[in-house]
Amino acid sequence: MTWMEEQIVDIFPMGDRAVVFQFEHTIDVKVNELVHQMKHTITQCALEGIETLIPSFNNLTIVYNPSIQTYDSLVHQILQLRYEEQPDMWQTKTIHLPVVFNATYGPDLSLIAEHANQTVEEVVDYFTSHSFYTYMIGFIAGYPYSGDIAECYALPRRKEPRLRVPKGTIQIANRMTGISTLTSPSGWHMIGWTPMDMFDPYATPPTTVQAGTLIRYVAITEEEAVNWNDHVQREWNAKWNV
Amino acid sequence: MECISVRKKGLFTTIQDEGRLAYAADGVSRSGVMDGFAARYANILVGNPQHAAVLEMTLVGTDVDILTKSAIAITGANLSPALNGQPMDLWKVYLVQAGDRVTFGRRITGARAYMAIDGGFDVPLVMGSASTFTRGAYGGFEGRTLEKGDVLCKKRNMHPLEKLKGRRLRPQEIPVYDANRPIRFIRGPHFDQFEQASLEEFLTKSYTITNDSDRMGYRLTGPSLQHRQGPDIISDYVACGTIQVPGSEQPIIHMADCGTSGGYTKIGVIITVDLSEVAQRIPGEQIRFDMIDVDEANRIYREQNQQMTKVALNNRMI
Repeated sequence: MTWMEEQIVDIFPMGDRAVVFQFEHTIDVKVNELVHQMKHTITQCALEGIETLIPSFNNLTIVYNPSIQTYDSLVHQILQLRYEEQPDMWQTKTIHLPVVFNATYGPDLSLIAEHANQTVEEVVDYFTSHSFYTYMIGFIAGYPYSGDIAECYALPRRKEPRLRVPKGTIQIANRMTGISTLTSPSGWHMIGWTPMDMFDPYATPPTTVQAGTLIRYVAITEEEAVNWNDHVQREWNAKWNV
Repeated sequence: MECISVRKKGLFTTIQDEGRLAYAADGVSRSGVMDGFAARYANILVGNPQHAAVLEMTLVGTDVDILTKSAIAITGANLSPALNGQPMDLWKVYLVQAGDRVTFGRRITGARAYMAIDGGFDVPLVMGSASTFTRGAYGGFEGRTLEKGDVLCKKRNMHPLEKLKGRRLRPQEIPVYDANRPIRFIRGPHFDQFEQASLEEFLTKSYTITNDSDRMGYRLTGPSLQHRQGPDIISDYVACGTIQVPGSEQPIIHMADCGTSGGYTKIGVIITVDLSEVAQRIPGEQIRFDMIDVDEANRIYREQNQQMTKVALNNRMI
């Protein structure tokens, strides 16, 4: 058994066109890196009949074409691949997001502060001085599940989701933070807002943040946020996100 | 080339192809046709690649005026199509001229009708696909359902139209939609996380499709599916066809426009071939589930695929 195979706790079908390789059932950067390493290796090997690979927190789903590969043949081939113990592909980039943190755009800031027994300023200071690792993109287009935020800020999702959370909202729940990419209902807690586009279906790639990216929030004023435009975005990217 | 103009919009008609699966890891919904069987055969009939862009019409058809000489085929649900007032057969090619009119009427069977045109509908690709994702307002025709007055274009077709005339699917190939036929699924990773009594119900009783059903998913109602340890799981990928059971203990079948991840237990995943069946059932109709293993499911998929390839080759244009 290879070292990679030893990390796998389960392998199972997801319907008739996908197979899932399951790692330890936890949310942990080391486990997530295994998922991405497996994905990277499989992509490099260009096996026949694989349609796409979808990483999540702790498992990798492989969608295949049953006319080319059977479930068994695919699993066998995946397990035979050579996996490097030192991943060579993990060049973690950091994306800096301009965020306005105030009561208007972050109505739950005071709730979080109270829960953590801190001032709102202290909460904002924490969220602008730490980078958060993106485990996976899911839920809706470009939505990055990033973490881990400090335990003291971890609140479960609201019992009653808000019906309408604006696109660009910075939100948190449990040990995760994310940025809503579409105006939609949400049970997460709103702490701020970014004018930066997180998802553009016409761009390549369509998402601003991918799995493995580090996210860093940078505080801007409300005035800067409402006056945001493409020109300002270009300047921002040149300064922060080359 | 402009080929059709919308006279009457229908209930929910969009342009779809096979979708944008390659972008699943970016959280992008697959979208694409709900009934792959009907859509692919419509394309085969008019000499298109199987995954060319087609019109997907839901429950009420979209009446169109033909703007240029074309070959069309209508498959899937029978929404009483007529050409210049004359009833049309489904699963058959018709040659039409500028000035011809295709209208629809009463729904007879099924939920979704597909119209293919020679060359395939021509719209700008978004993330590699012509499929419409209405929730994100992108793809297909301006990211939305068709409206009266919309003019659609088709791509160039290399086949002489005369060669397509009269092509039809053999009667034994044509599906008969039967809400009593059980829907086959593969056991999900959380199958054992349900109470035994609930599993027995799930495998023997019927579930009803509620009105809260659309391209994102079908919400079903029926015997409760009780969790042993609660409905929550660490979020991971949700494939189309996944039967998910949240805290409500009622199952949801995730369909073409579903979100790519979810945090609730999965009791099973419907096999690809049977998803086309599900796509043709409407609210108020029932679904019974039948569990099969992945080897059998792979075999069923291959058989259908081989059959389609055979039909496409037999009718190949030279």
